[in-house]
Amino acid sequence: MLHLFKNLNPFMIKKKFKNKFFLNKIKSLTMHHYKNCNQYKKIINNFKFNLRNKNQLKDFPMIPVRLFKKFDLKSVKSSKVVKTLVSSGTSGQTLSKIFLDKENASNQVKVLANIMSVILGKKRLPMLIIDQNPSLFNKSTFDAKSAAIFGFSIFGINHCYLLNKKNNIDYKSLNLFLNKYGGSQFLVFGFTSMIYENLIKKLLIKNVKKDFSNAILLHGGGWKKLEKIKISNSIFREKLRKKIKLNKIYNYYGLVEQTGSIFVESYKCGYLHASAYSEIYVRDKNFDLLENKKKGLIQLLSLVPTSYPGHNILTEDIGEIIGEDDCKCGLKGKYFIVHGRAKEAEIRGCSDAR
Amino acid sequence: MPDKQSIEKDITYNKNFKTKIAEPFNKLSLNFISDFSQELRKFKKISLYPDLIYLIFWCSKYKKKITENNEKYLRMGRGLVFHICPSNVPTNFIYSFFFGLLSGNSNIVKIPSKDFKEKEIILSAIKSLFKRRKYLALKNSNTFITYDITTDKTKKISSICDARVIWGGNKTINEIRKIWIPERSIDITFPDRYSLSIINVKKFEKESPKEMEKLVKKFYYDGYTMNQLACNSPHFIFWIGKKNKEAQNKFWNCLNKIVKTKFVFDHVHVVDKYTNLLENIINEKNFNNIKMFKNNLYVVTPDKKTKKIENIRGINGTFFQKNIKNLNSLKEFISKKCQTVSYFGFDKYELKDFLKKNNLTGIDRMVPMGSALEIDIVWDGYDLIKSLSRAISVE
Repeated sequence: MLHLFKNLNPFMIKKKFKNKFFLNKIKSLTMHHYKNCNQYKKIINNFKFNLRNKNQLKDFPMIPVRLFKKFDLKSVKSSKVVKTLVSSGTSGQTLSKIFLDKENASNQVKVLANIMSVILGKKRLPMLIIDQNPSLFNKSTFDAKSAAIFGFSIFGINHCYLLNKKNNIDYKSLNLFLNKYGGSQFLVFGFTSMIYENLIKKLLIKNVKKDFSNAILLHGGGWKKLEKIKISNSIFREKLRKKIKLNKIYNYYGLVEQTGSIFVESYKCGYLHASAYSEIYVRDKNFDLLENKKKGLIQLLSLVPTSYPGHNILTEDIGEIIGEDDCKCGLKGKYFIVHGRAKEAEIRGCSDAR
Repeated sequence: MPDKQSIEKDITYNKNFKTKIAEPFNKLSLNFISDFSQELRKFKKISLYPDLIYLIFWCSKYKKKITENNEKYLRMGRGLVFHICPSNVPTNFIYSFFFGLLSGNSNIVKIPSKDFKEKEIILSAIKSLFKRRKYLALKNSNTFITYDITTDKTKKISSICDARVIWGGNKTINEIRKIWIPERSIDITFPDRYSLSIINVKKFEKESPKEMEKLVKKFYYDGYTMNQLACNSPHFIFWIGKKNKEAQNKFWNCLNKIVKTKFVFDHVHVVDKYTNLLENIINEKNFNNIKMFKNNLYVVTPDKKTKKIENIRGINGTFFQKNIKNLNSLKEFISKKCQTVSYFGFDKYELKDFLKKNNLTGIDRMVPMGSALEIDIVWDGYDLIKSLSRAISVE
């Protein structure tokens, strides 16, 4: 079902072509999930949304991200599920569960590879991972963090994990890695908070033999922890540049519910970009579309999810679209900023006292 | 187990703490409550907190009501009351405390650990009253404590209390109930409840537009003030009588207008509301119609087969509606969980008649629309003054 842009750059597809093709894909994906996921069918039916009408992309019903925590949403038979992704996401305790069949799992990898090739080229680079090796621990669940590390590690070779089993920086391995590969391009990967914690804060420069001037950093996972201590994206970049001469920094944004079709922020412009596999809308409190440069709730569409109805999701993040097709960095498609999670209102519970 | 006094001292950090027993509505407690409301008024920004405004009103209400005591038994407080209040409700604990105080008891009140501004304001008012000489006796027989879910403290206090008042979800209540209390002690529990509204169609359709708007405003107050999260917030409206679609639409259109001008949604509200709607869609099979007035108001009409309604709950302005022929046909929808029924267009005799005739296990309050969120000393079917005191016969 998925159309891969094998020899095309997925960030070079212009609005006119994309809109038409994307609408058709979402239409058939919606039909697919309607036919194969009972809960999804109920939602479409209750909204009296007619799939045979000429609908606009913005009018297709969105699934709020928290629904994946409350229900097991699947569009394939349970026997076809080969992997279940689990994330903690928004509300902490309950986990969202994403059920992958073989096709969906392999499409995630293919799409991610297609997107990554724009940043990294076709060649696989030596890779430094700012984390512990997940295979050191025998985990029963396949959490989002290990999934991301495993998922991204296929884009590198000669993997080196910065942290040892005790969660300390392994300077010996790091220096071995830098000595061997630091002279030419190499890839650094990690969660935004882990990069801050380890590369910006903990790392002792005097113990490191070489700088990171040849590194390409790819990081993601959200700014929630850093917002609390008032570290913005630009401060983050500035600190990395000053401390270890790391300049080429790519931030990515995406949902575990839409693994694969990530949005990439280029250090050249500082904006996140939609690829040909994804689309973004920003909506106000009435779910009406907002014009560019107005802040609101982010809705994300992806062409990847087939084994669960995650192709059209209302997130709990606040963002704004800056423009489309005309970013100074040269990438096409919508570009935008994420301002973090919508602030939690004061929760009043079962109060008998009023 | 250490003795009662040493546990009291240990828990309250007050070496003078001692359980004091008094008559219900004793002067000291009444004065304290009225001085408390004076103290609250001193806060300049009090108008920002509707819960506190209501609390002030509530405090003044009790002075009047209480004097009509013509009981033939002498009543005295049970002794030490242990209140366990929900961690997510800002003002609940103070009402629980007042129930204990008014019925003549000493109180240990476990208050929410979460930081609510309302909680701070209430506690600072209490603190300043406790500093006054005339309330020294109350200071040494009442205390407010917070701790996390360490059952150790709960066990200790439970072992010396004469009554436990437990608010919270069913799970919390069941957990706490497993903890031993002395044989003569009692538990009063306030678990999750469900509330609804009823409207007499015949009366409603005769209302002038102005009167209609007044009524809808009252419903707005009941339904939106606590984001439908309170046990007494309505989720369902039953239209009783011959179906009048036009009148119903008038009601909802009017409500929509009021919400648009009065209620301020934030992003989290609307995401929660939309998520809740979809959850309801998935959990229930039978919705005939869903009308979304943007995100201001969702009105859901389940189909005829829907009978079990206690799990169909809205949030931030999602209401379910149903037409039924007469008041007696409401009984099929009433379960143990049902607490408040707010009404329009019925008289008290009709309502009492309905309650007596129908073998009901639910409904603890029937109040006019607009009063659903009020809290009374008779609550969830308990007369709290009677429940928290002993009746002593002297012949």
